[in-house]
Amino acid sequence: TEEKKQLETPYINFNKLFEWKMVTTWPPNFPVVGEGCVMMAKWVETMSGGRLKIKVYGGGELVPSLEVFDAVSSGAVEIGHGASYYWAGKVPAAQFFAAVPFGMNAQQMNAWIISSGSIALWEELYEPFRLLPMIAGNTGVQMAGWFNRELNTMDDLKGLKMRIPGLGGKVLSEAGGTSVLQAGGEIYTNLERGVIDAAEWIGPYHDYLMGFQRVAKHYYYPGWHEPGSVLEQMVNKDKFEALPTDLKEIVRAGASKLNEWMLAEFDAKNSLYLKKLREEEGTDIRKLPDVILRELKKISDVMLGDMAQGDPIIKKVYDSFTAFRDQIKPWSDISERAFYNDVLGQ
Amino acid sequence: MHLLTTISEKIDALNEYSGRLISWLAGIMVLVFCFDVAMRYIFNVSFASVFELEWHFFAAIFLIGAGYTLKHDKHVRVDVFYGEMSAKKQAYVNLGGVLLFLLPICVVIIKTSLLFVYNSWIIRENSPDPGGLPARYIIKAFIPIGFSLLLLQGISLALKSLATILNRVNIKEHE
Amino acid sequence: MNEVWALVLFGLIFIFILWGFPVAFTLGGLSVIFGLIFFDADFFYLVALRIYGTMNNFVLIAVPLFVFMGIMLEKSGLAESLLETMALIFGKFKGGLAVAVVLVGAMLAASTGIVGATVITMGLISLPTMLKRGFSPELATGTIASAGTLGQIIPPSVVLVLLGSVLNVSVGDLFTAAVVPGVALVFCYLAFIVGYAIVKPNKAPGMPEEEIRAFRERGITGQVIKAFVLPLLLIVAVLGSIFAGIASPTEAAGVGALGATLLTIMSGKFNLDVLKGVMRETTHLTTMVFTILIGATAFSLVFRALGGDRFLIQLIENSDLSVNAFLFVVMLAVFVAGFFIDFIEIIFIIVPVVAPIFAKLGVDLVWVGILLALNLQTSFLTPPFGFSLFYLKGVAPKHITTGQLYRGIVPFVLIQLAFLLLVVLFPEIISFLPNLLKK
Ligand code: NA
Ligand code: NA
Repeated sequence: TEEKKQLETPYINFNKLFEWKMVTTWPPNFPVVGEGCVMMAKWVETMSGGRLKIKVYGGGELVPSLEVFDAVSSGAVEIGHGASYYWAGKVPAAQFFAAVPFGMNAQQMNAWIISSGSIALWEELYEPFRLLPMIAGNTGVQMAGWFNRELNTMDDLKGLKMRIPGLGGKVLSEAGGTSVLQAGGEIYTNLERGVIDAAEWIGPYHDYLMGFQRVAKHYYYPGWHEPGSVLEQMVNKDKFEALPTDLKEIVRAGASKLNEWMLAEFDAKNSLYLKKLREEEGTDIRKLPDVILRELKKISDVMLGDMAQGDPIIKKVYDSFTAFRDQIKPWSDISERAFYNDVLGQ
Repeated sequence: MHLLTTISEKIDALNEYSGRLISWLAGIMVLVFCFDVAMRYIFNVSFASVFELEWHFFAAIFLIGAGYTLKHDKHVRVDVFYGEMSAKKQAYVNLGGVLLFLLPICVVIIKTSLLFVYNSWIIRENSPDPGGLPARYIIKAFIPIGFSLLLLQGISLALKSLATILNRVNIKEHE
Repeated sequence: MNEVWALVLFGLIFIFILWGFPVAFTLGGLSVIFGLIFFDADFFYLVALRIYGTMNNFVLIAVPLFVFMGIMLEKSGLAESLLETMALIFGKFKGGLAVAVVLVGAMLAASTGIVGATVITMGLISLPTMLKRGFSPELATGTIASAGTLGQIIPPSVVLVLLGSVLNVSVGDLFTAAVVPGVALVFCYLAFIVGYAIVKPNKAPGMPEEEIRAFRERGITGQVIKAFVLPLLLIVAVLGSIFAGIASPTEAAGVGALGATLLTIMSGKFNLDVLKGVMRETTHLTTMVFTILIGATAFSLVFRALGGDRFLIQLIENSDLSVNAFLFVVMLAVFVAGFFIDFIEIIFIIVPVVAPIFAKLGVDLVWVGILLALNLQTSFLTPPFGFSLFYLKGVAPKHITTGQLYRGIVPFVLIQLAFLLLVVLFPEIISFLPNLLKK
């Protein structure tokens, strides 16, 4: 009835203009994700006939990258863009809405969040912070990373020093490796000089720009730790409520369009730069051995299970996540997987 | 007058004490860094908590050190004119500077950062990294604590400047 | 409309900074007052977030470590004996000490990319010696402040990493391309110092005749070994730990700090009071640097929120120019902006706007990146907000005035601009090494 009432509202004040600021966790102009946010602002402005203008700030411009959550939550800024695993210290359960090791890929995450109703869970997690989360982008399957050591058996992970933050890093640590935290700007130098043996970043496009092909011997796939990282748009609820009905829908539409565009752009750019890496740079691109993936999956399952046991809120999200993964896997097997293996593979 | 001097002296003592105490972290930080390097290079282990401890120490040093450094007048000034001024004129600059600039920035930062700490405390914020340090609100609390110490030291500087301005004997000696 | 107030804010800061109250609080205080007038108090929540961002910035953490190392070296007397011995080897060669400073600065630049750390370290260990040996305060401070900025162009460099991400070019490409111009710039500084010493020998003296004679009579080799061995061990420890992949550039500063402490112990000058003194001095200098950064962060937040950045952007965007004219306008804007705001802000404000235009014009973005990096070096040096100058002022003896610092920096800024022009005219300076490596 609320919806009906709103639709029947005869009058929208078309003279009222809104000027919003958007803060993002990405460096200004950051390929794909940063660019996408700027495009989203333009779409919203056009769709609203100029009634809602959004000025986009890169990480560090208005607030530091990792303070986006607090900035939007406080209401000092109306809207933000990031990924929910950055807030693992605040809302641990929200990580499932970005990426967890051996989780789901972009298509499956979209299905879980958009069509299985789990967006309500996500909204519930952010409610105490007066934030409204929206799905607004996906990186697609990432790469496992750059290695200066060949990986054949689990023993090769022993003592491996790798830049891999978050849950992926924890899995590596439990497999006998070392997750090394460091400043983003030092990754290249540290990899070049051997302070670390390996580093994961994103995918061929972004990795190529970082120049990792010059300082690492092998480029391994697939990105088991980030199989399809969801990017989020978060809106301050009070600011959102203050919008007229049509602008609210336009903000949602902007996120939705961004979600579609980013994955398309990632896939297009990554495929182009994979070719460049292969043909121009002669990069040695390899698949992680099955035995390693299998063991890492075991470790990861135990780890995520333990996390869920320790916290009822995480458990709720974890249960929804694993239930949906169990549900979609048989379908993915005979649709996507069969297509990749038997149709595209021909 | 005597009361003001006493207040000023008490503040000075507080900042001298906290500054000296926090300065130990500078030495400890060096050791922690070397420990981190040695553990990774020799034993192939690395701790998220140690990495975070490093910047926690660093942050604590410059936040708690702010008032201490003001007490020792080690904050950089552009002294093109200030260097040529009489003690009384310098006292006017300092009194005016504290009232116009130092107090507003301290009050605003203390007020907003208390909210920042509170927001972290009610959710018991931890490190986003597995194995990182718990209780982020502790290091965040160093912002309001540091700026409170700075605010106090500003008050002490204002009182001392006021004393210089009012104390005619002192001025005559300088002229 | 508000943009005008952004300029007024800037003008007031310019005036009040000369008033003589500490720079950090003048910057921050005025900005807060302006912010309170134009925005609600909630807005300042962002200042708290920005301070927290400074606290967990892992690149800047090298500053207190290098400061610790610098002060420890100063207390041990090792730095002084190293520099003096170097100068004695140069003998009557005028300006020898300044040459030594530039060379050491270049070595530090190759190990780190933090300007504040290099300037403070160099200021602590070499300024007193240079002044004692009769160098003019202008030449001494100018040499140190500008040698300190070399870390931004000689890789690894924070500026190049940021530029790479904003220009959307490979950081590795930028690092490779920066090597030749970085080294060439070192030679430009050296050429200037040598030339200056020839023209004005009294301002850049060699060592006194009798000391050189005494030095030679005592037997050069023994003294050189004595003066060089310990500090060289330290340099090997710092640089070696970086190049051997033992420590990251940040961590190497920590290794250096411990190394300096061990050297002081070996030279018998260590005791608890020395340690306490070093730690307290480190606290003062670290606080001095980061309080300025906090003041600056409040300023740039308010400046940006008032729309002050739009002026610069409109100036650039509205100019429908040829490639060369556009390049000139951008370089001028960056140089002028460098007087007022720090390099990170410039990179974030201007570069995202001009990068797509350069790309459209078909200009090599790596070349643009190096030009920008060279240009941005001046932002550390140009008054009134030259951070290099503030940092050096913080460690200089009391009698060194801000005016002397301002005068001392002029020739180096001119060298920088001349070199920039050279790279514009001869892009081969940049493309030479990358092309060679590609073959
Ligand atoms: Na460097
Ligand atoms: Na400047």
